[in-house]
Amino acid sequence: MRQFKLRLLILILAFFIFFIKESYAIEKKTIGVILPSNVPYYEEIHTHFLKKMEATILSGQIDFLIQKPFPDPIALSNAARKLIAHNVDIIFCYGTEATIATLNERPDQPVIYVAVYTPALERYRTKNSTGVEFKTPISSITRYLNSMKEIKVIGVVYNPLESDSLYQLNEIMKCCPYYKINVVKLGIKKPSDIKQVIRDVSADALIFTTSSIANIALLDFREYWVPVASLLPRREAKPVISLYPSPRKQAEKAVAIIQAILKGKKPYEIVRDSSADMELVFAIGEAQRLNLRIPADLLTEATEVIH
Amino acid sequence: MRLLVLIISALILCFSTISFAAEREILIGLIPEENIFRQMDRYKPLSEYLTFKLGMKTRFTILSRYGDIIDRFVMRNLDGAFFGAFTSVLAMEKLGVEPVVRPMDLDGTSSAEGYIFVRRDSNIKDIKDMKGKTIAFVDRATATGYIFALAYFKEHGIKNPLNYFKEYYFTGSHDSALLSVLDGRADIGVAKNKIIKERIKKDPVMQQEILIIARSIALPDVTLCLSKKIDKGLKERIRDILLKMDKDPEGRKVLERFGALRFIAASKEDFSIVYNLLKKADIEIKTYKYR
Repeated sequence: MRQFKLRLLILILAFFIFFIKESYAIEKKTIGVILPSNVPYYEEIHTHFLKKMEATILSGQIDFLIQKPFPDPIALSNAARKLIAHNVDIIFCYGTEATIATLNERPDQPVIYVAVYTPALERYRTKNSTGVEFKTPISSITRYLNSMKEIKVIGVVYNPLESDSLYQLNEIMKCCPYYKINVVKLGIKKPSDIKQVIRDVSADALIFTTSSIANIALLDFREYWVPVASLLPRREAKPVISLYPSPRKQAEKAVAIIQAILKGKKPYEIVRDSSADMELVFAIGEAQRLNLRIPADLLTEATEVIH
Repeated sequence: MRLLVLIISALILCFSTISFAAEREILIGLIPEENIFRQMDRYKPLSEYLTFKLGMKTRFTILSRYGDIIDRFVMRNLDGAFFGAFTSVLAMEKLGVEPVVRPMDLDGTSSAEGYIFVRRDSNIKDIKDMKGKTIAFVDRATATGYIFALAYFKEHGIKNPLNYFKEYYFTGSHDSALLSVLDGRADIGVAKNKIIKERIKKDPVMQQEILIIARSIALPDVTLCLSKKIDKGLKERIRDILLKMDKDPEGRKVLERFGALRFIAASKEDFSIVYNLLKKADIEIKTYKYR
């Protein structure tokens, strides 16, 4: 009888410990989100993210607190400060600049990020941050532009205040001499700058970097007289070539990381995801408007061809 | 009267044979190993040369994809095909084709290797780093673009190679597997060395970006295999013309455009190495689902 009681006690204790552990793991968390405003690419990822989150059994365990600052360093830092002051469990950042701003504000803050350009993040990494990254192969976009027409000068639209954009400009400048192409730097700090910087430039093609400002500006000036390549998608603007990380896959990977966190894992226990997920899109109608022919062997490589 | 009938019959028979001979053409299939436009440019002068030398129209046709090759060979009633290492074995087993010749490349080799490669900046250095990534193969019916990699992973203790990756897909051609990795559409690629080298030669930036992680042993490269329905005489003529091309000034010009030094004789024995590879990859040729 005594032995039976002892066993029963052990069983109850084990059940109790297990229950506490489980309830701790699925404790309701508040996730602060920094979603730079008006950047179509981040909005598309966010839409996929919410859909995917809704489909998970853990969706009820989260409260989202969303900040939509303008994508400039001061506004992004302010957004991070607000979320830190609110004592959120995790800050979920869209894009390189929002992530860097948050990590700069408080390095011990748990941060999950998505759509971050790997080289720009290297010196900001913290133990408490992990997320989804990408690296755009700059040479591919240069090579593809060059196969459509002879290019001697490329104009690169970048934002000197966005580090991913600066890294890409440098990559383009390193790569172009191999193709005997000169680079013209077209720096913009706000979307409306685009009209002024490209007005007097004489370039055979334009590359828009992953800068949020460049992504917004892409649509501000519709009738480009030269082919445009974009490192972020912008369907309405129809760049002739777009090469960018799949928004759907970026979102799926981010959801997987958030789920792991909700199940009790710490950010440092989760390996950052930088696996390849690029999409290559050609806008054939825009190419025709510019009297360009996209080689058939290039079209066969496309993830998608739009008109 | 009987003599007249005999003469008329002989004439009819003779005429019909002549007209049949005039219409007879040789149709040879090509595996879609590289970009089809570039491939057609390479093979067109060769078809013209064979037409001239044989006195018989010779046409090349690109088979749409590796997996269909055996069916297409039968459906289109092909006389032969330039097969890859695996498809040669498959066609020998399933159709009884005979390997005849294969080109010797400008570097003096007539074999090909498979490469497993990544982007240099990908942080993938070995097989351990490949876990959970995306891999681009060429086709299930290629030795250099799939089967060698399967054997390699199995030799390195990965029982179910396809489950080792987060995602895998087939690009349909070797250069497409290369571009998939360069563009960041896949983390890892598997393709034939010659196609990679050819692309790199034209674009040195690619060379800086690609890192070869593993390579296969040398396998017989593209081989012309002829159907068993072709009579021995015609088979010998085709073999003879191709083997002597480098002795003929016109032939040398064609070879130059084709990108080969000459053609060399091929035999069934050349493929024992492919059978060994299939064994390592746990592939039973008779039951293998290559489509």
